[in-house]
Amino acid sequence: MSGHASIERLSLYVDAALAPAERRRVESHLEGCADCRHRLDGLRRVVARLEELPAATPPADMAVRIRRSAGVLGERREWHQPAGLPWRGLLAGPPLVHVFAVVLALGAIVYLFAFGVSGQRQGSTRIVLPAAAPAEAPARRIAEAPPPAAAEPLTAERATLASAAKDAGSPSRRLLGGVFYRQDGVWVEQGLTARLPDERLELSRTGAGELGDGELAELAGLDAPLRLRVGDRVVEIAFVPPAD
Amino acid sequence: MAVALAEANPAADDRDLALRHRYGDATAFDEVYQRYGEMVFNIALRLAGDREEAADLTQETFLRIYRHLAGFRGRSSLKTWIYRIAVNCCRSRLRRRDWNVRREPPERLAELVDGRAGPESRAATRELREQLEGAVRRLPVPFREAVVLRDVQGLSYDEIARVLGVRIGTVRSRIARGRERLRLLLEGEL
Repeated sequence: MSGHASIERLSLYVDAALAPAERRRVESHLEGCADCRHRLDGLRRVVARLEELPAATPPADMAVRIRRSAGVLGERREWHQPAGLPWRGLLAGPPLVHVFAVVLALGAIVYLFAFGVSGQRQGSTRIVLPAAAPAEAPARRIAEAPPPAAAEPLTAERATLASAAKDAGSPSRRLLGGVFYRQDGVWVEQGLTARLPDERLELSRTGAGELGDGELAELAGLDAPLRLRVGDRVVEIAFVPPAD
Repeated sequence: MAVALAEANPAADDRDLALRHRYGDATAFDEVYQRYGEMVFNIALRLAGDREEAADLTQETFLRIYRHLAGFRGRSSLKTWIYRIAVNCCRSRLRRRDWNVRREPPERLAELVDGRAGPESRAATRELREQLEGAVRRLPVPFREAVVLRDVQGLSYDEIARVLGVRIGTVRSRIARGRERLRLLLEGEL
């Protein structure tokens, strides 16, 4: 070994992380080099003192603060609903608020299905979900669809994905999921909850989680894909979380 | 102080926690805090150097965990994943402070290690631990992260590389240079 041992070698030597041959070379050098022995001793003392630092205990109210902030616990916990459900926020209050929220939500749903996003009345306010998907409106997999070209106009499908990406950075998001359906060739996200944190939308296997007649689908960050039928529209939806 | 978890099957257990959280089991998040709350607080404390700030950072870290836990897929251990979130939470705050430290006059740091500077100016009456903590706070953030994860939290080089998202060679270098700076800062005090 020419000159002094590098600080990285000495540091690895302290950790006993050098290969045997390398360790022997360092030890051989240390025998004749007081400077390196001095540095090694210093490094050993630093490491020993750091390891001796006592573990600190978090403030006693730390867990409560976190739970309150996360909406997991606190004074409303008796009305807590599962974290993944989109209507969770609506059910986080006292029962009277629940009733009001549900009435509001149902009103919004009925209105949207009755008039559609274009505002055209479709003849009935009743949501009808046929038992089987019509042949002319087969389930489609977004994952198999070709990626949109950069210059392509923003469709509802792309808008949904874009809003998901945008919301991923928003500190205010709380709710997962949304209601989706396909109309006139585009995907529409309907708004009880419109936030899709951290997930990208991807259609997946068919037939899972089929809805019965009259059911409205709301998604909640499920990993089991749902197949939605709204009128003559069929949608399959799954949420795929980001890579760890 | 090394943080270790004794679990029969940590990977499956981690995924189970994430799934329970995903499907609305509120106790899953409580369990994550019980397991990792002290670990997160300690790394925030050692990186930020202040209890109040560490508490804020711990809260911020767990809010991020709460939001993202449903998406945890078990590709890394939950512990590594949480360390990564905690370190990221601390980083921007630490970098601001680190900028200020780097701009301090060099004499200020020299005073800390210069025995001739006089007892009143070099805080000779302070406890060794406080000196050490102060020296750690003066490390540049990348060195501080690596040294704290290694020598305070007891992570392996591989784990640190995964937490910081850098190559293991970079980890070795940062640890070595961080330790060397501490040695120089605390020369004669240890």
